[in-house]
Amino acid sequence: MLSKRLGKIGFIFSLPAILFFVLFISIPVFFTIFLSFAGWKGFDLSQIRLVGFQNYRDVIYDKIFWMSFFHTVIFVMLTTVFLNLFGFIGAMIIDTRIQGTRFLKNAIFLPVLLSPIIIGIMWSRMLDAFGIVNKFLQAMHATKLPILFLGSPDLALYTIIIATIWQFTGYDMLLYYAGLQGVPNELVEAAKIDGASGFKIVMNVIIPVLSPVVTITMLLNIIGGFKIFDIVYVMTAGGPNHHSEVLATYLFMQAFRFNNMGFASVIAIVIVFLSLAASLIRMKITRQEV
Amino acid sequence: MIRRFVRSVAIYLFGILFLVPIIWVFSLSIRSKKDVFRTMFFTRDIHFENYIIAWNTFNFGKLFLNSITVTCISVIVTLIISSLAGYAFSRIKYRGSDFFFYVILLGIMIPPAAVIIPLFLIMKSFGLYNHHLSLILSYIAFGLPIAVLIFRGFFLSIPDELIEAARIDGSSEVGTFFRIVIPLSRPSFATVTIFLFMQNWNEFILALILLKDKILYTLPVGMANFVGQWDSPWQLVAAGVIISAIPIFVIYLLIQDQFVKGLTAGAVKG
Repeated sequence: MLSKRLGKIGFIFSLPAILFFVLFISIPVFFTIFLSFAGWKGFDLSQIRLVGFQNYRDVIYDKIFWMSFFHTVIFVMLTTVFLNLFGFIGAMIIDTRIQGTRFLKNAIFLPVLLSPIIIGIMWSRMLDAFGIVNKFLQAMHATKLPILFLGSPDLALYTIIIATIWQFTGYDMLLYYAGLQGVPNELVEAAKIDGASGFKIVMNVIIPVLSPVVTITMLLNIIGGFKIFDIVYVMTAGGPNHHSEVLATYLFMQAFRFNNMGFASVIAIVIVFLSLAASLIRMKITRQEV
Repeated sequence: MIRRFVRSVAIYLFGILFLVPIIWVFSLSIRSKKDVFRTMFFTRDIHFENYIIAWNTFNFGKLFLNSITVTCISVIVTLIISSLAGYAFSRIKYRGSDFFFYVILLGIMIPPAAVIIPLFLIMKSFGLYNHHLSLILSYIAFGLPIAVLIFRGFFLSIPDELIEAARIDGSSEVGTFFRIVIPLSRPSFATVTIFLFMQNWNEFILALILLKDKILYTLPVGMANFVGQWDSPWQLVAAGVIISAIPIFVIYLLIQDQFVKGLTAGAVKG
């Protein structure tokens, strides 16, 4: 009797969350799947026609889709590798706790606090023909004419990647720093007594103990990378000529510039699928280790 | 001893080198119009009035007000809804509660970018397009999954006896929740608040598609649309960047440890 009444209260307690979730996440997800099978150009809902796999075919044969797909993959791979590498090195340095590491920790963490929009605006100006980077390169006689980092098809994507790495190294660093606090001191001391070099201690003692942190951090970076939008939108908007286009910016352009809702929905499904795959891997791994 | 000193100096230098982009933007923000393209860093000719001009040109008062309104309302509502749900999913389970919990958990994997088209259509048909409420509702929905996960985890760690004792004493579930569970859970409320605050404060793509009138823009959309424009004078852009960064930086300095906990809450095991 009591438990039945309790159950009702439990349901009422969780009802608002369930409603919000269903209305603004579940229904939109199913609607996106539906739209991916529909031909729809405008904003009049009565004109929606089902077209089968036509949108999927269009996307598969679309050159710019594949460009944005590979740019996203390159973005995810490079940011994940370097964020983890620099984050780990940073954490090792601040873990020594010698004079100055507190300052270093705050300095590296500072950009994490800012929105990618602000970072994008800053870096765009910095790398502009009149920005400090070109001023510096010219002063060093490294280049005569200014380098147009964001206007160059070869450099735009990599420039955005570097800005992103600069922004989020502090995030990975703090996760690794927290992980390092869990490495037993005796283990490191024992390795030192055995005469292991610093590099060997890192590779054979510290990294194995940290492996759960490594997986979580990498997967967070991967999931974050697949949905990258803000900084690309503000730095290049996908240009020049789609050379820094990523999935989310291409989705945005197809949906809200060209009104190709069906086509854009297929891209949305690709993004969901990629983050879902990465998240499932993350869940599987963390479950095993808990 | 000397080695330690050299290392410390190297660490300070590296920290400063890392901050060069921010130092440069700051130097840009106090330059005169003439010096903008002429010098690399600081000059003697300092113009702090750039900040006042930038504040007025880009209408920062309105941008901050919009961002504060949207962020605070959505954070408060999310906190209430998700803590209640987290309590139900951990301490007053019912048939189907686990199912609902795992469905909501799936939401962690859905990036807002993937559902912008239906959200845009839903908000339009509700008549909420170009209204702050559309942002608030979306932010609540997208904040829920992680908030519910964190609260549920925390409430599970509250000793059974406390809650059972209250129930036997005839306390209602609502009473137990407010008198016993919430006071015990202050740290988790702090973590979730900071996590949600940062997520909503910086959110861009939903604000970009759900708002049309410039007067409604939140900080990130306003930054991208007026401040980041290429024809905006550089010294004002730089001042705008610093203005928009200062509040978060100050909050961080005040509650550093909690802030780090909140920001890294996305790394919870799920």
